[in-house]
Amino acid sequence: MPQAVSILFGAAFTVAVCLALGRILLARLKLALYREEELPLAFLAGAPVLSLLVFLLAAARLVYDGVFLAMGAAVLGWAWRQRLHRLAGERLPPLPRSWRLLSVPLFVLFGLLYFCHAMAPEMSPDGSTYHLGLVGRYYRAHGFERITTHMYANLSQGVEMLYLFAYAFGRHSSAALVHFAFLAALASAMVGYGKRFGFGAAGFAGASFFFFSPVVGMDGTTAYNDVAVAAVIFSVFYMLAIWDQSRNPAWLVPAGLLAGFCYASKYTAFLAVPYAMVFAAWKLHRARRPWLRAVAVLAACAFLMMAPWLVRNWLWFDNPFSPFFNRLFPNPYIHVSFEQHYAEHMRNYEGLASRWEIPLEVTVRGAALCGLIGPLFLLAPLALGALRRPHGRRLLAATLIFGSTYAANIGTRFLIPALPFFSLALALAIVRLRTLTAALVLAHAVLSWPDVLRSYSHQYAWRLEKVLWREALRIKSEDEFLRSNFPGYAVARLIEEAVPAGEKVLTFTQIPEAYTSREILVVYQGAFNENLGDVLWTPLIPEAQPTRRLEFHFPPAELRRLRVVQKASGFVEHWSIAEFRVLNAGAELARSPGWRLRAHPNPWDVQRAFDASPATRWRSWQSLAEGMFVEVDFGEPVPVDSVQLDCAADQWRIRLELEGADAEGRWRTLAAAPSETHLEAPPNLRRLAALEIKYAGVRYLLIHENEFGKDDYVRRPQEWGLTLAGEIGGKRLYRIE
Amino acid sequence: MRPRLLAAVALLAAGCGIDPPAYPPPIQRSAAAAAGPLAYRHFLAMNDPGAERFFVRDVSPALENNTWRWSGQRPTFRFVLQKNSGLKFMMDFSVAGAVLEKTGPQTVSFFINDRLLGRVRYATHGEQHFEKAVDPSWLKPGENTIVAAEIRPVWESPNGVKLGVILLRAGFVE
Repeated sequence: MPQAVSILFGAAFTVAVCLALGRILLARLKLALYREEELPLAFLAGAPVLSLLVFLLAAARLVYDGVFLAMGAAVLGWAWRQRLHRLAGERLPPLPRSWRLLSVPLFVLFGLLYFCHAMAPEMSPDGSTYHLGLVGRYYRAHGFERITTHMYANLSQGVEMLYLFAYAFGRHSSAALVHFAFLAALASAMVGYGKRFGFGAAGFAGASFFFFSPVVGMDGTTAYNDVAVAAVIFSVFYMLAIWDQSRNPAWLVPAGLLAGFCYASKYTAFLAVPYAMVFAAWKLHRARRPWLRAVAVLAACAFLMMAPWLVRNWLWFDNPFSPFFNRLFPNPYIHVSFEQHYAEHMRNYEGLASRWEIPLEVTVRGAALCGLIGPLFLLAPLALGALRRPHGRRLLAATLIFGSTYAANIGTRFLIPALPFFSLALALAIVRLRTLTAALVLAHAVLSWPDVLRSYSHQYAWRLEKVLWREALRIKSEDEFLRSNFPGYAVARLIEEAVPAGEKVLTFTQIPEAYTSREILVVYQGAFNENLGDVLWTPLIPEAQPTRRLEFHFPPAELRRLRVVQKASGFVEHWSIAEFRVLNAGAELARSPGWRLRAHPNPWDVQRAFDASPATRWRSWQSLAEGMFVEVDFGEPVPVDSVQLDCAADQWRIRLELEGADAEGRWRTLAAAPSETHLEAPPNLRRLAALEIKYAGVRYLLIHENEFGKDDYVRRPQEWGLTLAGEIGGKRLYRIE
Repeated sequence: MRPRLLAAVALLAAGCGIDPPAYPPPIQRSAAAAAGPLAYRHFLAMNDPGAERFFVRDVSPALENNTWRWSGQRPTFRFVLQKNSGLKFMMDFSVAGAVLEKTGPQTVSFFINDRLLGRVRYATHGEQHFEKAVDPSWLKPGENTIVAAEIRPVWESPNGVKLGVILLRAGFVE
């Protein structure tokens, strides 16, 4: 089958099954919609159902083309038998002709631009790395794998389940086209919302503001999920508005499912669940009617969609909210320090000198915060005019609620979930000035078109560049296009060719793993990977090498347990121990299999302080806090008189004390502080480090051209024990011998 | 209200374990693994042909009087043993009078795979013999075994060369 056909089939089949499921769901609940609402809301109502079905198939390891095809065909057949393929709703009042003449050609033009981009080879940063990288892994494994080395695998992946369904037939571009379907459905729903509630022109203008917005066009035509999440949030809002209008309790079922699907799609969209529950309770309370049942229905339906991800994470990662809340749910898979650094990184983008730059950055420049919503939104204060109308107040409240998570990640695309509400509110505020509104729609469209956009936004703004119709239809080959436009692709293909199947590659920088079947371990994406990165950096950073010997001496005693306790707190550095030795009369006690080792925090790595390797160390992976300890239990009282710790120098402010417990378990302080001597760096540290990586099951190392220590690998491959397995564009792939 | 409270407490209790899990000591790494595969070797005289292949650090490449070599601060060797039980580590060396005059008594700490085997203080010059049984668990047959002697203090010559002791032979004997 020609590639373009398989791409289109994958996307169309997925969208059709979503539509059919939505139509079935709404029909079973006897929920009527207007003609203009039927397609977008049925698609959005069916998406969570298909996502849940794919989740169950993935959990049962039944991800096969044939299973998807059979299931999809059965759903379509069921809908057909129920005559649900026919649109039967009443029509809403049409828009004035002048509005149609203005908006329809613009929507068609941008629709073609977006469709071509979505269908063109996928090369978005996140889409080609983890969104589709993980989808590809699930597809190859015929279902979920317990991936503990990839923090993005721990996130909820509701939309990615739909991508997986599409990917089975058309691979990467089918997934991106499914995302585009959400964009089209959202714009259509915004128009429908305006029409239903009596402000059709504002609905059209608001949908235009949103649909033409550059970052929306960029994001919604790749395998990201922000626009899909925005569509799902808006559908919750929309269905609750219909429920409020009709008070038909059956609307709470799809609204609840969609609210839960918000969480299942992106953690930051969890607000849809309390929003829906509070909205329903408040409306019923004001009407002096019982509200508990309505809230319970919403909660139950939402939980149905959330539970699979919560349960999966609890069972696999010991943390239902992984990769967050690791302090509350300690686990061996994500370090607390990573979570802190990640959150900090998301709140502070490089290239942004001050928060005051955000308005201009997100509207006009588009580089530092990755994308722009368009200069139109510099008129944001005008939206306050919408406060005069009830729907305006509701839209602005939703803007505030769903925009409140923006502070957690100030990238432009994190404005997208709130943008539909804000766009409608802005349009509602100005729609009485028809000429001005029409002029703004037209100006926004012109300013958002790629050729114009290029003239005023930053040269490195995240934006669409041109209409990629040759690439979309694969007249220009995918491989050729990606090799010449997407440097990471060639690296992924090099790995595919040079690394045997089943092998893992350790790297410090993300690569488009969606284009290789080899497992990629990025050092910051999991605790296991971070330990490997720490090992690899130890030979390169003198402060990380075990050159401090701390010795506790105390009167000889028979002790059952020894514990080194850390007393300092409030400092960002981590506590670490490379080697923990126990001595008596000048000789080290042999480490017996009967010993038991404990540590707090990070107990899972305590063995790294007792493995006789200077290349590894136990680390707290948390800032210094009083009460941290590393303990050895000998199983029986043994004569001891000193403890020796070999430590890295990069922990200037640790304050250690040695405690011991006798046979009865009575603890006492043995030494209030250690003496310290300087050690020479261990010999052969590079080789030892490389061997540790190999012992961990990783035999390949990818080093990018600008990475720390790159020159050392180039100059001293023999000392590391590395062989060059391939090189492209300054990126070097090494095999650990 | 009570069931909700209990559920919340249960949730927190499940998340926040009181006692950290305990683990036995792991497989002990051999620093010598870094040196690469070698033929079995349990004993080494400084004038053995190809002896340099078994030096890791701080052993002079110059063979003096066709018999001995100067050590630096931490002469380190590697061996590959066929077995690990019933072995003693021994080392023959000489404390140099000229060095002793400059440094005073020297203390030599002997390490097997980074574990301290023994520590001896030498206040007089002349030939010395160190010998001590090694715990079998410290040794891994077929893998490189790293042996080091940490000498403190050493004499540092005006041109920066550190001289420790005069090395004659070292290795494992039964």
